[in-house]
Amino acid sequence: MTVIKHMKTKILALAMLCLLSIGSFAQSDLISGKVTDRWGEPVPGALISLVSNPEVRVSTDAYGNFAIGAAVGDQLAIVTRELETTRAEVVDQNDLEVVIDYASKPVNLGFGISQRMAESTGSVSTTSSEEINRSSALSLSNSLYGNALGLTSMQNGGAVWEDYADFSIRGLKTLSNNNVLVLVDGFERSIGTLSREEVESVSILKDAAAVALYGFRGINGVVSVTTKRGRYNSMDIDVSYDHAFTTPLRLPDFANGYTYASAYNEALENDGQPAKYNSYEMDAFQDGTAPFLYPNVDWVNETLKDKGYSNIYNVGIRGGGSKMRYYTLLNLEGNDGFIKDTETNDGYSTQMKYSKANIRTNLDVDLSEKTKAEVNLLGIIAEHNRPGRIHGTLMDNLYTLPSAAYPIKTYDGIWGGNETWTTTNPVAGVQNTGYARSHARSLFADVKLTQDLDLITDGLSGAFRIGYDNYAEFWEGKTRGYQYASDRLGFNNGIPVDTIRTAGGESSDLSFSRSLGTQNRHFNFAANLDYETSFTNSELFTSLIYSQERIVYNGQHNTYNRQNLAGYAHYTMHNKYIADLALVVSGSNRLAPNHKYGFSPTLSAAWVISNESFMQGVSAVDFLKLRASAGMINSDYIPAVNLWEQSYDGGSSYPFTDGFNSYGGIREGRLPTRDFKLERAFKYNLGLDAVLYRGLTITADGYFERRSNIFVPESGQNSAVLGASSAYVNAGIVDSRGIEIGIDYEKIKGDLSYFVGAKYTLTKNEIVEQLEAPRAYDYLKTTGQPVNQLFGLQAIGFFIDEAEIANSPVQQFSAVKPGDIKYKDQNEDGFINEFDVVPMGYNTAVPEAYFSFELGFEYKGLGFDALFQGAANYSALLNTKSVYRPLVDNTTISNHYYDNRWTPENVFAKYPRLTTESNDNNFRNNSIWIADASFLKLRTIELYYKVPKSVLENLRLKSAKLYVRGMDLFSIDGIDISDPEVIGVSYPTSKSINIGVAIGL
Amino acid sequence: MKFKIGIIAFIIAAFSFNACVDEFKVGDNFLEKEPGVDVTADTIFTQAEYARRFLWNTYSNLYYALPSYWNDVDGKMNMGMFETLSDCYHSHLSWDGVNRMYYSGSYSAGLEDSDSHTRFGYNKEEVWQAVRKAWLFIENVDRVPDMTTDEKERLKGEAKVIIASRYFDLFRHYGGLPLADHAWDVNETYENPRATVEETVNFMVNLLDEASATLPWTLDAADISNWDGRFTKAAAMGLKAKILLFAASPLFNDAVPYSIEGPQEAVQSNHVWYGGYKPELWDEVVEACEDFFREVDANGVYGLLQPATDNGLDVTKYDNVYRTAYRDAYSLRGSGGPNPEMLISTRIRYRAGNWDWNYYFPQSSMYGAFTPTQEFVDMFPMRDGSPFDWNDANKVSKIHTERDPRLYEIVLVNGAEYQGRQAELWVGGREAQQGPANEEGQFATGYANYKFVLDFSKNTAKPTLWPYLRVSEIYLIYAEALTKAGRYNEAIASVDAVRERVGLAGLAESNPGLNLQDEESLMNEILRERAIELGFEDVRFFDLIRNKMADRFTTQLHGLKTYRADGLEQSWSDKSASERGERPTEFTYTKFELQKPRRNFWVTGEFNPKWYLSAFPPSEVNKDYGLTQNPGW
Repeated sequence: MTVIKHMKTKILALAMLCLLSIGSFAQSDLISGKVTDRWGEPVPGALISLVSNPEVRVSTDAYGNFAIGAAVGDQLAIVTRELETTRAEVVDQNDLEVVIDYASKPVNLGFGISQRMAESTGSVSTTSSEEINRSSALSLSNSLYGNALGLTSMQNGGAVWEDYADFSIRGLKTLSNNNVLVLVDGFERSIGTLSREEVESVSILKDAAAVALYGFRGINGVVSVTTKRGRYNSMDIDVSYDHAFTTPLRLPDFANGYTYASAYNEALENDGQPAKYNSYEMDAFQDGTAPFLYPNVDWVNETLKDKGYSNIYNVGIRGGGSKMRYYTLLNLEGNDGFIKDTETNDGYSTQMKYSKANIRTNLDVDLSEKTKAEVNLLGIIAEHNRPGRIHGTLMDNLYTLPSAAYPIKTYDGIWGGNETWTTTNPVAGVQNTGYARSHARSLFADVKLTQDLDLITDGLSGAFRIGYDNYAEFWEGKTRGYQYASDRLGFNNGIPVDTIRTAGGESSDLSFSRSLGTQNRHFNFAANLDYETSFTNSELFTSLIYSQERIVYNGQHNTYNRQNLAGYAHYTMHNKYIADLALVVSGSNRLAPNHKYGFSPTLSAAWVISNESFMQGVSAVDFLKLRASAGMINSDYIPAVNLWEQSYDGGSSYPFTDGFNSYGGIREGRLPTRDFKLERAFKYNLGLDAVLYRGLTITADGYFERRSNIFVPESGQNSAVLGASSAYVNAGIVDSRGIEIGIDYEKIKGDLSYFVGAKYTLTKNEIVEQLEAPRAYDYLKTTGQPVNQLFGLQAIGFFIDEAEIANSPVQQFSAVKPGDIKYKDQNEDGFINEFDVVPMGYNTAVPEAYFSFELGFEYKGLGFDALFQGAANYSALLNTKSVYRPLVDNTTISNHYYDNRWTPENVFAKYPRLTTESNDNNFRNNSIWIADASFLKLRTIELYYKVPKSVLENLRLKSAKLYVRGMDLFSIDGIDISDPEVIGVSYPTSKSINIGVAIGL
Repeated sequence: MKFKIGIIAFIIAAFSFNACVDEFKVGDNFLEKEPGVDVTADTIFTQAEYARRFLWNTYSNLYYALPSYWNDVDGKMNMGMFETLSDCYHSHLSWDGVNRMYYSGSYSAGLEDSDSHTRFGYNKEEVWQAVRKAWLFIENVDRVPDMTTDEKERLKGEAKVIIASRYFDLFRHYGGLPLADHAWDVNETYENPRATVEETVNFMVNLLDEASATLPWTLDAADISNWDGRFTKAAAMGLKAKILLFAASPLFNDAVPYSIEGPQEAVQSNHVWYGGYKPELWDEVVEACEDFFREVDANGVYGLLQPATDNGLDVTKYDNVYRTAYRDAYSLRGSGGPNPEMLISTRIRYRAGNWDWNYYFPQSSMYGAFTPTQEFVDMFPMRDGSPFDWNDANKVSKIHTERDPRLYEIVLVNGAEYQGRQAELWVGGREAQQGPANEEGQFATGYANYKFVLDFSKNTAKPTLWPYLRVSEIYLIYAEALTKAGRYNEAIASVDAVRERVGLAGLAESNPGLNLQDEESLMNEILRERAIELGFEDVRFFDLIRNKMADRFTTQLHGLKTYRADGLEQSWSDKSASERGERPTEFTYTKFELQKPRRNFWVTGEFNPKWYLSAFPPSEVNKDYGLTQNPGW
């Protein structure tokens, strides 16, 4: 059984347990043996069967021992409970040693096809449940930082319910769509709301051989999640609880009232305008004696606190009898946000709260000897709560409102507010505008039937699977308004003469509103026919797979129908030479008539060098495999619906009549694409998998990809005189290349075990062709540069005085003054303008280098582990309002900017002079604002204690673990004042200390 | 057995529940396009109604000068207008394109690529879109089965005027242009080199001549209320005169090219001039005007909108009558309807969602984007027709009270009726407040724009037409061409016709000290008359550039601070009757140099003639289809 069908294995296991040792061949003897892992630890519950007669099967006991009726020379197949598989040949009757090692690990290609690592020809990395659960993230998507070789997973800002990581695999490869395909149990599903607990493993499918079977969707790589399933004749109950004490990571720090007023006056002076605050007012700000007239409100601290919390509860039951297996999970998660004083209203809270329940049942039922069924259901109920009026704008308000704007409340208890700063008073927004809620429901459901078709011919089997997923979101709000006012002094000759009150807004009762948010549904269908056979010294597995999916999102032109027909063959010779061929025809409703299908051939091969006879004496090398793949994968991405047709749509109407009436118009849309082609990737990969010294695992890949036929608009080449939107043509080409290296060392020695590991990926790309419009200078071209390369002006300091301005090239963006940024004249034409930008930094989305290292040890149940993850060749654009763009448009100023601003006394400053006017010269992409966003973060650090077996037995527990964890505790980077991954106005990212307990019953 | 039944039942159930309502499909059927609501070319030109709508949409690409929405075309120069580059208006809106690129002197060719708020972008004003649509219509309308040949010919004529007018919109900013004489097919190469000024003018004129042959002289009386705005023969003939005037002017028609700076390829190829002075071009203008007036004589309908004497207004208060006539002449619907003077008016979609266009233009007026200068106000004669004179104390005392009625329709001045009271534009007054003192906002020059926006309340309930071409302009075009042809007395008569409509005495009578038999003096009077009759109608700026009046660009412009003679810097009308006393009628006036901002030409005192025309976007030039860059850019 070269390729073991995932489900089938489990079914076999069932049958085996019932018929624990059948000796059906007369000449066989009882062979005894032991299954151990690579450190010599026994592997209980592994299934051992005869390759020549799979119906002869036994399982190992708690000490890894087994006995099976076989003859010398027979091949045994071994499958563990974690679905690791291996082979062993019976050499004599006693003490057969079977080692489950790295090469035995399963590689899941989807569509029921699973291979052991030793036989896989594709580039696939797998992360286990154990690694994922070193994190305490609320979502699976946030638990993969640095965990999976080849997956670039970047943190996102935002509230907990929308804070899911961005994934990319092998960098930016195209100008169109770089999204990776995310699968849960083989179907395209979101993993944002999936809990870590229900996941068995996550595989990253990277090269052509790994993604071939997914047709159009797999072109950018695949993240494939496998959930847990039941086990025969056992029952394990896992209960766990995790509590997080969360703290915002790097809240913004804005100037106090006095500093703000000083900065504003300084900015006005710089602009040649009279001061806004007179000396009386400045004194009042400084001594703070009139807080209602001259306030100093730290809005961030008045609105946000530095403590929140999360809770995660899991109850999982995993087991089965002799004919059915089950895994069921109840997962509850909750998070309370960082908003202060949210309980001031009777009957409701305005906290940013999130709660979610996942209820999963995965069932495997053996309907008969040859017919197996599988039912998987996951229901998710999620809700969140937030303040009423300022949902979505709370953080923006905090990044806008100066400390000196107005007091929280006036002296007579009215909320502060005025006409200059029309943004909602954040404290009033939290306490006095009601609340809003969202309710979301998801259902992931699928059913699979597998039928053994031995009746037709030996080795034939078939299966089909149907799935239906649905997601819907409902919003409701109960909001109300509030009255506001503020007071200021009127002056005569610098002496206060009266108090002037401005007031506005109206206090109102709660009013109700509701709406339906996004909804979508997926229908999935897959069927396959598998045939496996063996010849002398070689084995062949073939599969014919048909699959289709229908995804319907809100709105018109949002239906995606796709289908694939795949022929797959996997050939193994002498256990050394392995070849795979995948021929896939994919169809999609997004594509032009007569071009609805694409054909993707992929060929890959591996050579297991360690199985060669000349390697048998090399004891250092336990396993060594070289692999190579080449394939052509198509995409059904189109930049606009029906782009091959000349479109016409309702254009502007023209008002001939003398009123507001007009006659409707029709207009021509974009010109149609001639010669429609599919975007296409040619993917090449060379890789190596090795295990040395029984513990050192090395995986290395190098790849090249040419993405061609990318749709780009022809407008870059067409004359404007054409007068129509130019067609898209398949002319774009992007080359990308890179390496991925993973090294792990793991050792168990008596009571001590430890591991260290490192992962590194580097990806580079270059736009080869994109029909770019001609540029005045070659260096302005984006062709030849990486996708999304930043461009900017080179700052060479700040102007010291008018004389320097007069003697420098004219900077044409806006009038410059001393303290404004001076730029390098790249083309030496005497003018600084848009022609003086040069490529600068990298891009702001996907870092070119992504790496991590981890270590851990355990001694007598006491353990420690830590994971660091970093990124390099990664840029940030510093343009956050108030933080890097202070004062302009009635914003405030950060202490960071204030301390680093240019003044005549501080000419070697970091940032330009203060101004109250929009300044096109300073605030545009340049070397000051394009910053290096490389970082190294401590993603997880954990100290745990596993209660020893002796104690557990008294407590009737199978296992118990107590831990203290730190999540994202620190980041080393050059940004310093905000999270390098989340720059801009955003709900703060958090760090946390978690305590938890996990008990096995 | 139980299991098998179960399986069969399950399979049947599974195949039937797919997507609830749609049937289960496999193969090609599964990938079919969803039933759509798309319109195709065939739908459009097989039904008259759709074909007409296609043309109506093409109309929506016509030029409309007032800023209206936050998009590139309608937003113009980011709420500004290029008329404020002339000497009649100054923009105090610091973020508009006028300030950022032109007053600052930082305009460069590259900005035509990177900025949407240059004065008239080569590929950002929907000119080429309109041209393509019009050609598509002309080329396809013959396929429409349910439309009469007459209507087809008429609509084709309208499409041709659309092409000509859009070409002219670009021509006056750029000179010669690539000639799009058909709608390019998707399989063609789109290369098309730039044509000479002469070829471009002939292209426009030929289209207008062809259109004149098929268009009705005017709309049917029954159609006016619904269809005014469609092009007529009168519109086509009038536009021809306007185009020929621009072409015959010294910018293109002179012994020397307007700029000798490199690159000179466009000069050498006659893309930006005629290559020498051609007096016969002026004869063509005269001829075009005379053709127009001959048709008017023959067919009637059009003419100057004359003051009504029977409208119930008090004739003794001349401004009621004359002001109303002037306002109606630029704002009422034409085509022989209530306004015989309107030849071409354009409109925009008036609402987007809840946003009334009346938000945007009034808003920019309030921001001070169009503040009239003292130089402009000085151009208006006294109410008797005699010129205003700062040296005449009597005239100065009547500076805001006894002037040409058109002044009050174009510029909001101190004491004018405004929002139900008399406007207080003195420093500290209810309207102006400290605006003139600080040179800020709506009253930064001591005046505010009144035309189109009026007092912010009278003009809100109906669409505001853009007077693209009026009969009074034809009179003044005729006068200018006659002057160039040496027919001075006829020229004066033509100007006087326009003056007479607002009750002013003739040029000669009003200017006894002026030798009007001198081309230069007469031209000055005609240009001054154009500036005030067609004030804020996109005329003055083009008069300056087509006559190469460099000195008007370098001249420092002024505002006026009006002070109450009693020295009080406060409002009168918002005080109670008991405390305010008599309404102030005595004022003192201080002219001041406009400083916020100063224009770069004033600062340097130099004007480079390259500024007369805009630069083509370098990306277009570099596409190498034969677009030569204008000299100096």
